[in-house]
Amino acid sequence: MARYIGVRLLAMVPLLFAIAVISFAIAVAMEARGSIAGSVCGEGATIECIAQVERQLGLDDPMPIRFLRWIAGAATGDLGTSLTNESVSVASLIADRIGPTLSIVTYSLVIGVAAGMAMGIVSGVRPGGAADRVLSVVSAALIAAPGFVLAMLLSWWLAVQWGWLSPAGYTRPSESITGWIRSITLPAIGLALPTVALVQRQLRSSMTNALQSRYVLAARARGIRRTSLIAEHALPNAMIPTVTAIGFRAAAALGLTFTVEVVFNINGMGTLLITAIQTRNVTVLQGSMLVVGIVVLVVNLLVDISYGLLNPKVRLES
Amino acid sequence: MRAPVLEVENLHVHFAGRQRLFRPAMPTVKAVNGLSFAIEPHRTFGLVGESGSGKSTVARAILQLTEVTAGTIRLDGADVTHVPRQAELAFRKRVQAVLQDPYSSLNQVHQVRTIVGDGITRHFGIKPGPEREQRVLALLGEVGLVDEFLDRYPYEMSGGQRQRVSIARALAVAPDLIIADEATSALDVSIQSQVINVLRRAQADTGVAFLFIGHDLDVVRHVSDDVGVMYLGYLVEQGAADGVYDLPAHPYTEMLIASVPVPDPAAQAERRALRQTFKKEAEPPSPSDLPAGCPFANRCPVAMDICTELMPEATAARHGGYVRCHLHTSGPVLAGESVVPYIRSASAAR
Repeated sequence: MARYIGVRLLAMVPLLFAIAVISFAIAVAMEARGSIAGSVCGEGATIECIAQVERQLGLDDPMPIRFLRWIAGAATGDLGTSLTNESVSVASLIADRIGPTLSIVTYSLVIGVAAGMAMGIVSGVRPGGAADRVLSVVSAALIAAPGFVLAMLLSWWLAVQWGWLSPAGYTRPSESITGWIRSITLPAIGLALPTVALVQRQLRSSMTNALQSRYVLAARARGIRRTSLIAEHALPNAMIPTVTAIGFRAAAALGLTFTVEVVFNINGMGTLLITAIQTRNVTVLQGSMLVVGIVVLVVNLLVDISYGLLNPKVRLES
Repeated sequence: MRAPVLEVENLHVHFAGRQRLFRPAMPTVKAVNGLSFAIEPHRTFGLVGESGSGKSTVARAILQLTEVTAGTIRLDGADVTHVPRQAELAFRKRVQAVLQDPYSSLNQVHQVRTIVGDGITRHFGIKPGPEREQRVLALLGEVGLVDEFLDRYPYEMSGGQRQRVSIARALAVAPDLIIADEATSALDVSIQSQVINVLRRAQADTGVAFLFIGHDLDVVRHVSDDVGVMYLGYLVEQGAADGVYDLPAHPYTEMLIASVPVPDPAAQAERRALRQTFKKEAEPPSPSDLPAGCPFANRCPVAMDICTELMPEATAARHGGYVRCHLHTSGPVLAGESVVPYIRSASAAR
């Protein structure tokens, strides 16, 4: 297993480099359209100002040099300073914003996978049964309606009427743990609802297949208890494709976090990225994309590891 | 002769067609139609037939994996046609299965110690640990696998090794009857004989009875004391294994014999010639729309008018068993003798 993880880690290196190149290239593409220096100097910028700023920021250097300088800085945790506010470093900005996003995404995955698995198992054990029909309609509805809209409806009761949860804003866990949970529960639910539907559907079909397989038939003929038939024989097999689906969903949830951040007024990575794009804040954009990319890589690594845990065949082949 | 372990009497298994909205229901599939046989301890009954003849349905019906429509199944004289839930565990302890494809019948996420051991835990209450491990190792030894196989996964083993694990898994609960449904069909010929020897040794050691199901009459005959030949859910011929093979009284049995290639070129040429006489293009009738007469009539080279009108009754055959074929009571009136000379002369005359 250690060797398997080692191989996966090594495979991340070229991916990391590709993410850095792409983050940098996208930012450079934006720069070509509206000069960075121009936006720093503001309206009615003089040529002197622009030239000075360009020299200051090293924008007049050749592209590879600029990339290497940026990547060398990034390696030491220095991602430059924000273009709209030079006193703020990009790294500290990201450090400030990544907490809420990671809490919401992780929390949403926990809710979504737990609920989706429970629903998927119930559906898959008796496909076509009453429970399965109800659950499949529910998951179709969850796929059709954007999660954050449903979360807004939920917030009417849970936050506004009954006051159990906070309707907007973010409380740091260092301030208050209960406050933190209350502040991220609704956005996490919003993000989790499509995950629930996705996991339910995937697990339903793979569970149905697993239960129809010959090894389950053989286990039934051996007299294995129904609960262990489901939990020990069918589920580990059915989880293999489901974990892949969860991995995709984790990456997608990271990209969709801005929707709930906007709806629930939370300053996270999503809103940071959107604002950076709107204000052509190239350094912030580069840095945030790099960090989000790394998070996705880590998620993929976790998926690969759990894949290896579930499927002994994968473990050996690496 | 000992009292039989398993008695099957007039077994019928029909699958009701699915009800559909606004359209007539799907037709009922009659997979097994009035099957009777018995197996004594230490003995093997072979069930042979083409695919679709209902062999596996018989296995599933006995294993309580499918609902029996009519008839009785008895285990040591006790009725087990419909085993109630609270008696299921005791029933499972006595009847085990070795299924067809060794690739899909072992769970790929479990090691051999779990595959063989979980039945021990379930039926003897021995939790995973050194004691269970000892038992599993003993079973592996019985089927000719060394200790290293304990922590192998199915994909780390060959087909023959997997099937040995399947057998060890069935033997683990010390059953009275093992149903081997096409247990050797997926294996190479050389491996087949090894696996068959494993089954034989297990039978000699424990006295377990086997119901051996296969489509290759040659293999089934070698394993079995008695054989039943199945066609479309009917037992068309039944008797001592060698008797049925040497003196086939039903044209379908002869067709199955002729379909197996033999190494001797002269004998093979003869079989090939015989094979030509069977109407290959004719499809067997659908089990959801069985004909009134003999189900084999449309493929039979020596069919008579009566064959399409009346289902033949069982008549005594020369080999000591019985056969369901009109040739023995009307037409040439073979009276239970082998059908081979008659088919030969009939095809020569044509």
